[in-house]
Amino acid sequence: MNLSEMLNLEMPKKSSYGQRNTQFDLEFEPDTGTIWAWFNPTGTPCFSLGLLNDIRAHDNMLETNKGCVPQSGQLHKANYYVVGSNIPRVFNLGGDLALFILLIKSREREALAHYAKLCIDNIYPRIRNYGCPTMTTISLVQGDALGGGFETALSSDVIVAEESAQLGLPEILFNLFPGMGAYSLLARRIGMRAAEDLITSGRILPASKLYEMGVVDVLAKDGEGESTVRSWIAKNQKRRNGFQAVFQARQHIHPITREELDRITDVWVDAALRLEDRDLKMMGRIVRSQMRRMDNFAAKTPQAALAVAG
Amino acid sequence: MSFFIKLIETTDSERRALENLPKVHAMINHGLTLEEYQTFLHDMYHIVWNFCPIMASAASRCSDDFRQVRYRLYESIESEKGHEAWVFDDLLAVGGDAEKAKATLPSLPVQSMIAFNYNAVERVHPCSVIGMLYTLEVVSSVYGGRVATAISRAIGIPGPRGFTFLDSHASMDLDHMAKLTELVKTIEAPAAQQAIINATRVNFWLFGQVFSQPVFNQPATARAA
Repeated sequence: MNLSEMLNLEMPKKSSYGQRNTQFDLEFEPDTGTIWAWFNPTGTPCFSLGLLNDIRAHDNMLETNKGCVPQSGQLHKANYYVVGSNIPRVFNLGGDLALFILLIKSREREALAHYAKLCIDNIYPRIRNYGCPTMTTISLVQGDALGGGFETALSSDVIVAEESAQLGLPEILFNLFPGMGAYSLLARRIGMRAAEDLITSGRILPASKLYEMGVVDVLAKDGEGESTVRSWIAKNQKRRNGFQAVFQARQHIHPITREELDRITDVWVDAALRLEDRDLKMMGRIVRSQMRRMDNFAAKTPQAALAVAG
Repeated sequence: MSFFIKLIETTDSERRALENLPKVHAMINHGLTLEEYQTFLHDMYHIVWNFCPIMASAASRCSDDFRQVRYRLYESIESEKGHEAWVFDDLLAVGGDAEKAKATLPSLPVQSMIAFNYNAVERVHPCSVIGMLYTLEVVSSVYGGRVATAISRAIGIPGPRGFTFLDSHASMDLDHMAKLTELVKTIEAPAAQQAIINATRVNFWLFGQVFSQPVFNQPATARAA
């Protein structure tokens, strides 16, 4: 019996909204005012330009509507914005490494900076709760969150992760670092020393370990991530205002500014352009291991096979 | 925003679609069977054989407004000419009938790719050739690095004989890609930009179709036999 069943919660109705045929599936649950957004990338589950643009298009709309979701001809206020993944056992594997190889070999500073800016254009509004102080953001991590995937998980107010999920920042393996917010967001949760340790070690840790470290807020049993989010929302419904104020206070105590994130991406671009052939070969090995991993998933689950086929 | 970024963005889904073909995954990670590699080299022979004439055709049609493209094509023709002999020798080295491959039409996707590129440079816009160059550079520089090793291991032929073409293109690409990017960034005319974007999309797609041939899609048991 999961937590929802124990609390005798009825599953609220969700309905799709937003544009069709994108890589970012959207549902809205009017009863609780919850947006459920699911990464649904074609191919390797990383932050491709297509996925980044689809997220940005939705989030722009959300900001323009001041945190409200259009449905059935009306605007509904969103209290929660949950982001998860439709790909089994993967939240997101981070940056599009094949694209990085292409841009680094092209020695294309402007294009690398453009990619980095697109990432920050997505992460920074989430850190700021899309300009809506009464909206709580939640990351639902039901599979591996690596590199930019981990950064995205960190950008929410609350991280709910299933026990078997693995999270980490492997960029150091190819002599780079995670430049789209990881340092700032981790330092805010666990301090600079521990943040640097995670970044420079490249260690991939289970969600349970990160829960002990204070990175993950809520640990869910495998397969119960979504019901755990629902339970968390239900449990804290009466104290929502207080929680949201705490999350706002967090931003005042450890503010993360757009300028800070932009400067770090400049460092990232410089570092990327200094990578040598052996580093790019290692990056290529990781691209291939991601491909193998998706092949293994595709062989095991029809859903993943469809995702791989795009 | 430079045209290079526009090209990357507008053709990203086609690049990723090629990257995500199961047969391309398999080739990158596990190589090819001998029959598949021979078929691949047969197709590559005809692509490489037509590469320089397509570039020459494009160069002859570039107006003075695109003289930088024309000069770049002269350089590319000079550096690429004769590479079909590498493919021919590789085919011989892995036991293929190179003379027959030379005399026989390539697969339908490769015939389409060659025909498309001649038509695009001659009837649409000579700068279309940049789309073909860009596609082939991306394929070799981003995905080609380990393919020769994977195939060599899979078919039990140690190399370097039999893999001259793949090996050379995987290692020579670093400057190629940077130079091509510089060239792409000089293209400002909207008609030329559109032609390059379309040619890139079509070439990525057709390259992926090469792996849709029956020989690349036999069940594992049939391949083993």
